[in-house]
Amino acid sequence: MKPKKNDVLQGTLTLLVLLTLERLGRCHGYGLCGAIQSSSENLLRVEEGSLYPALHRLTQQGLLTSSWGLSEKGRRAKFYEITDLGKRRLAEEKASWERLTRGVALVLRTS
Amino acid sequence: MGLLSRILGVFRAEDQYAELDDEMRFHIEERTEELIAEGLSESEARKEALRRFGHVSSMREEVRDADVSRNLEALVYDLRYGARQLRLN
Repeated sequence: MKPKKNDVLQGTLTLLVLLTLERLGRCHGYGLCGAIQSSSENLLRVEEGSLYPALHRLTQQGLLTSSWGLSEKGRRAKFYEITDLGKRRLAEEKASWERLTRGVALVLRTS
Repeated sequence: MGLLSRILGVFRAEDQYAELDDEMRFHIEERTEELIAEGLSESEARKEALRRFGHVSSMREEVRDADVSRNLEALVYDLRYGARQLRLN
């Protein structure tokens, strides 16, 4: 059995996917990947393919919906959109992230 | 649905991962084309696209593991709930 992925990394990917889909609306995995890479200035060098298990998981959890459609070039692709539940989860994840960074900033200041 | 069907259904059939394969193939094709446009040869572009993508089989495995876990959890929950109902009656 493979070791479980790092929870922080998984949480970060969740946040980035939800954020990007909220901003872009409807996107296929490849487009989403590009948007995440450019908006994070390539800070997160995750394997591009790791996006797909994440998209699958988030869809199963009801945070995203998916549908097949045609890409800009007319190729068959799977598109994703954020759901209302996804938007609520995004708000929670943002709050968690802000708490975490506030905590770290405090520790750094007092050290 | 019969119990045997439920147990067998925990493991989705191989062909039900065709959609995931299509998705991953689309991604790798798009990346390959982008790299060709940037000047790489077709074989270099494909190699680089695959390198950036990561291990395709690991991704499939991860999705399958998640499906199996979820189906197993649902089955265990139903068996437990069903057993409790029987005891209460």
